[in-house]
Amino acid sequence: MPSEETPSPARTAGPQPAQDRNAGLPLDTGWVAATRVNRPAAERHVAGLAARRPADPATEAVWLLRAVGLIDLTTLSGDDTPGRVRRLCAKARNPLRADLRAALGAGRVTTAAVCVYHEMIAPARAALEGSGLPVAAVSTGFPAGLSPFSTRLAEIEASVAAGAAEIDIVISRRHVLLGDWQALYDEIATFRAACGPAHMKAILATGELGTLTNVARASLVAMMAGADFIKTSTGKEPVNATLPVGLTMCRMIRAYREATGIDVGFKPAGGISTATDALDWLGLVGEELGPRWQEPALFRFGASSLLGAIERRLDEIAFGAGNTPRRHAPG
Amino acid sequence: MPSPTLDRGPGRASDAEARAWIARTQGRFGPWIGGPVAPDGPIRTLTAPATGTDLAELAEATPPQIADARAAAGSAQADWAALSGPARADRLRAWAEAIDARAACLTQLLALETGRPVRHGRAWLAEGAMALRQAADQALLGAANRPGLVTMGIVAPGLSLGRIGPALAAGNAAMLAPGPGGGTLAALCLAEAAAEAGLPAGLLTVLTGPAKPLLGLARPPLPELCGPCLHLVLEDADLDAAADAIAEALGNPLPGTTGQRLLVQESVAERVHARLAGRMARLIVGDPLDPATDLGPLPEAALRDRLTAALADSTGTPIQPLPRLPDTGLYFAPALISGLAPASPEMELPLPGPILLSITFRSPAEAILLANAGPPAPSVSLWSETLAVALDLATALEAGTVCVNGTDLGPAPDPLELWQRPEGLAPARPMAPAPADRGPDPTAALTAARHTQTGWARRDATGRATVLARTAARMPEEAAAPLAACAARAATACATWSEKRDGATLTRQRPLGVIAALCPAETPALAAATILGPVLATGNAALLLAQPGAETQLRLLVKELEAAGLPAGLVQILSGAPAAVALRLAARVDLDALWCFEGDDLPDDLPVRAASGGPALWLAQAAPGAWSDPGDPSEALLRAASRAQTIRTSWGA
Repeated sequence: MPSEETPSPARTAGPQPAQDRNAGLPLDTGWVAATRVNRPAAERHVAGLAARRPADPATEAVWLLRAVGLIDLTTLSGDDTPGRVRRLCAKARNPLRADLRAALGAGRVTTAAVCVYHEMIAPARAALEGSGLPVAAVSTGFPAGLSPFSTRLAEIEASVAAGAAEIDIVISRRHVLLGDWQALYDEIATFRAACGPAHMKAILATGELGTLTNVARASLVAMMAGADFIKTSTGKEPVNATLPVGLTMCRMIRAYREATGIDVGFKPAGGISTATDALDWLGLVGEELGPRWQEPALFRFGASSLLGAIERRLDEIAFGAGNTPRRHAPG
Repeated sequence: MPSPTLDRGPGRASDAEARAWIARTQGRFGPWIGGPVAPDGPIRTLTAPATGTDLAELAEATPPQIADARAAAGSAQADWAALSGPARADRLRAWAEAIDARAACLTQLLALETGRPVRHGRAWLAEGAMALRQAADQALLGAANRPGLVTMGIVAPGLSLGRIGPALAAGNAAMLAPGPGGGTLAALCLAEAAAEAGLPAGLLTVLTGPAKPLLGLARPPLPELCGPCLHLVLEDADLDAAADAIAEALGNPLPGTTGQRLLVQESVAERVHARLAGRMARLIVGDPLDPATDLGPLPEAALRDRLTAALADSTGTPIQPLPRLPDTGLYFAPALISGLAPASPEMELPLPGPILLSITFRSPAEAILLANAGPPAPSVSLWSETLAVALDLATALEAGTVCVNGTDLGPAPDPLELWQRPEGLAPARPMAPAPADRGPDPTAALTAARHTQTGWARRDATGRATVLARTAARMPEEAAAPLAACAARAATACATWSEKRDGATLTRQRPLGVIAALCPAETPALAAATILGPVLATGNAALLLAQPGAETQLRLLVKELEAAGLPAGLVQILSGAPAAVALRLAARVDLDALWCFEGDDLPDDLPVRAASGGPALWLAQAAPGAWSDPGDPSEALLRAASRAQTIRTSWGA
């Protein structure tokens, strides 16, 4: 709920010029505190999404092809090597077999980006050279975000210097759990300044925030502090991207847009691993935020196994029964 | 460069089952009286509101057919009531199974004939089948071993299995009259399923044609769902969730209600209206057979004209965000009219379509005031994240169903006991024509009773029980026993809490308000104590009609009660000829219930007079000697003196 300094939605409603970056807002604790989320209502609402998936296979294929182009193809493992990252990048540049694309009438398809740890930025950049695909790096003591603050800042600077075009930062969950919105705001705003030209995605680690109300409040503070994207999870929490969390974050993005005219992107990550998951998420953002959030400028999937699942489903749609992972090039 | 918008593409609507079912009778239907009856009456063509195409031909029930149906119901009911509870439970369960097996056909029939989207129809049917199974469980557990209240109940309009199930389980027969737009084909399909399940032929009949003329057949006249549903949004609510759910509820109106109203706290009204408009624009309006559809077509063309006129003539600020509407069919884009006041002319219109009329309030107390004024809302959805505020409002609202932070507005199934005759009391006897004598004017007594009742109802049950127990201690034994029994029951009365998948239902009992009772002439003190105990224990005020010569004894009883702490004025005593007083009281809209335990000479048209907005009538005249050996009617009377309120809640952090 915007407090008095913030223009009310009623006065700013209507189309606003698209903004390149989110410049942020001064912290409005009144708005943060007045934000409430009812979990059962959110769960009931997302339960209706399944009935709204595209019903005919041709339409489903169009949706799934779009989903491929929204994936931040990700590897975040302790055993990542340059070779492994090169393989992933090759998959990002060419995620679908030529005959499959031809059968579906699709032109050039790539994923939206590749997402790696800092040490893998250089091999990823080299492997993606000429493709136009950006490299995203997770940062700030990913996944727990508990290393020294100066180290976390330095990590951002080093990754930007190494050529990461997008930085996925993690927030300090304790600031949310303790209700210290000023500390959260300051932390994210400092990270944002350190990102410079790189786009910043703020990972809220929603599985560790306790309540949907906390998810909504943390989303608002992250946007006020200048996040270009808000992202659900690191993929390392016990609970990752769920649809009620997604609904909550979408509603906050909408409220922020109504109050400021600024579009903030959304990235669900972790646990999105089936083709029907992808359809549900695309349906959710389309319904809550509109078609512009079904494009890579404002929406990404953070996923590693989703691509394989979509390939298998597309194969089934294009060529009928009988498909195995062996028909698709591994990433 | 933006990519093309992702459309849902063609839906997956199917009407195969329903079409096959219609084709089996070549699309010609008449009433169902122990089986399909040859069409005889005037024939009406049913058209599908979504497409305007013809569905079937429906013959209205003729007066001889209605008489046949009554006779068939009467004889089937005698056999049915003679069955044991478990035997009835078996058949009801089989009926629920048969309904499940026809679920696709039934939801498609509803969608085709009434325009209700299949996703809502499916939920409605699942609830209905569950209500049948619950009623069967109660019958199985022996609750149905007492005789039914009436030889037949008529259930009209609409198709409420939550009402039919308990009525049948208690040993009654039911006659359905869905009326135009009420889903006649689905009702016929339900009757077919009942026959297949082994319910006696004639026990469940379906009367085609307008429902209105059949209402007078009802015994007892049933409280109809009436008035609009309310959505009440407080400033501390999850406003997004509230707006989304309320906008979606526009596609799923409660059958028999007269529209939907929004009561929103002024501090958040603008924001709620903006969110509602946004959600309305995103509703999927279209083919009710498509499982994705939120809002189907209106059931009747006349309704679209009424809604269009209401929007055009509105004195408020109408907003009609236009979602994509199909080119043909009776579609109406959902609309919101804000800036209204309770006195705005459109608040008086029945608008059972996707139009939401909005008024604002300043505080919870004002919300209660506004919600309880005007026609009673059968159901309220209440939005607040604060437990104390939500419960304060829920318990203060007159509505029978309050759903906290949700729009699950369907009424709870009737309790089986509603359909049973209290033990110790005999069935009603035939009545005489109306007397010429008008009887005494009850206005002053009613006003005084009503004035005192509010405070009495607000006292807790224990406090009320104490007054009764104290009185009992000072009374001679015969009058003391019923008072003491009610005191004990009231003091230990508890609400029920039942949990299901996504939340829980709290069922509590509330007083009716002011109850008038025609006391029997024999053993007046005992009878009065038997009546007053339950009436007072549950928080009501009472008007006792004393038989000539019994007034002194009744006044003594009231004096004792007042000495024990009963508020003065809560019990009023009237005297006069029973038939004349009953006639006067039946016409009062400020009386909540009229119990007639006496008076062979009650006028014939008493039920009709009582049904039109007047008190709920209970013609349970006592058999001779009933009062000196009444068994223990206090439990049945306690139930009759109160009505259940269902509060649905759900939880999650």
